[in-house]
This record gives sequence, structure tokens and C-alpha cells, in this order.
Amino acid sequence: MENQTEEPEGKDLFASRRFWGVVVAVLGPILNQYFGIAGADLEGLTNTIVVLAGALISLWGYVSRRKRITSVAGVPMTQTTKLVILVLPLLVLYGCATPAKTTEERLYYAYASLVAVRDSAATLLSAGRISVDEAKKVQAKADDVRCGLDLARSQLGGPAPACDRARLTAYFKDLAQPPTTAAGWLDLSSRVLFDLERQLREKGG
Amino acid sequence: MSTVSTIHVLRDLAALALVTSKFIASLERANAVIARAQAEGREITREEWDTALALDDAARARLDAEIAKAAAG
Repeated sequence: MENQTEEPEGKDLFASRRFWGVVVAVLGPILNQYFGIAGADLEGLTNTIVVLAGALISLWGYVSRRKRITSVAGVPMTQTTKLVILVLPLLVLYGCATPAKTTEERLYYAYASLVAVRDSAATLLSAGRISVDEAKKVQAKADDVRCGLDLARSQLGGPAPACDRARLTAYFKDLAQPPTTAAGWLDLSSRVLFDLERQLREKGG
Repeated sequence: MSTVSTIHVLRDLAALALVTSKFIASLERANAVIARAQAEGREITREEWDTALALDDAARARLDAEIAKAAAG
């Protein structure tokens, strides 16, 4: 007799204990280095414990696994998907690995990220992965980010930019008033920049 | 895996590798400058700022050129 209640052969990536173990192992050090969470001292022993905990969850997932991972958030697992899963975390890790600590250093790093975004858009356009219109939108958004970074730099003693700051603030509907500090302009610009980076990474995949 | 899907994967991989290398190269430069400034206990110099701005201007020009080339067909 045919078994009507047979379970599917595979499972989704997000149902994998190995996947979440890796996320835990990687997230702790990233949060510590990149966001510098106030009050969350993940240095030294604590950092090691977080990584070990993630490794243990992964190991548990490995020894107790019953199904292969066949999809990611419902999208079937193809060779391309596997490559993206392999490379994207490395990109994110690398992007997060900066020694920048002060506002000035973070600002300097943001200018470099902007270069990376424009170069990535040019590469993706020449590879046919994004359209001309999409590339133009990236360029326009990158210009708005540059305006915000220039404004941040002007707060640190740099020259006052002649750009239209209203275009940058227009991205944020809930913004009560424009920032008045370098850190404020940097944070605002970074939010648009991260969104751009994310879009390009998705196109790259 | 069929030949077509193999080509798709290789093409995607090539695009991803290019994007990755661009990201890494740009961020590597910035990290080197920041690390050097920290090691020497100083702020980022005027020349280093000028270089950063010039690099963005150059990247902007490259993207503009690529847009013009793609638009021209």
C-alpha cells in the first residue's frame, strides 16, 4: 500500500541546525567588531564561548541530520544557490572586518565602500546582470550617499559640499530633522549605502 | 547538470568573483590607510582624504562610462 503520509525528502536551509550553528559562531565576533555593541563585551573568553556554542550546534546538526537541505526559504537548492551561500558570507565577513573605530575612520571606510558600490555596479552592468536604468539608479543613490559623507566630513573640518542634502534625507520618511553631527550624517549615509550594497550583492548572486 | 546550466553557473560565478574582488580591493585599501594611521597614532592626513575622494570620483566616472557604453548598445 502506498504511504500517503510520506515526508518530503529534503528540508529548507533555515530548518538546518548546522546552518544556525554557523550563524551563531559567526555573528558574535561580527557584532563585536562592526557594531561595537555597548555593554556587550565579546572579547576574549566570551568571544570564544560564542564561537564554540555555534560550533557545537553545527556538530549536533551534523550528527543528528536525517534530511538533505534542498531549498533556501522555499527556493530550490541549485548549484548557483550553493555558490551564493558559500561566497556571500565571506563578502559580508570581509566587509565587516575593518579596524575603523573613530567617526573619522568610519567615514573614510564609508568612502571606500562607496567606491566598491560604484565599481560593482559597473561590473554587473558590463556582465549584463543589471540594466542601464538600474545602474543609473545606483549612481544616483551613490551620489546622494556621497553628499551625506561630504556633509559628515564638513562637520569634521572639511569643506562644505554644494550638494542637495534634501535628496538624502528624503529616503527617510520618518526623519524629524536633518542630522547636525558628523556621526549623524555618516549613519544616515551608511543606511543608504548598506541598502545599495545588499542590492548589488543580490544581483551579483 | 546540463551544459546550459553549467554555463549559467560559470557566468554567475564570474560575475560574483569580479564583484567580490572589487569590493575587497577597495576596502583593503581603506583598511590599510586606517591601520597605518592608528599605528602611527595620528588622524587621516589631507593627502589620504584627497586620494579617497579622487578614487570615488574615478569610480563614478567608470560607472558613467559603462552606462554610456551599455546605453549605446
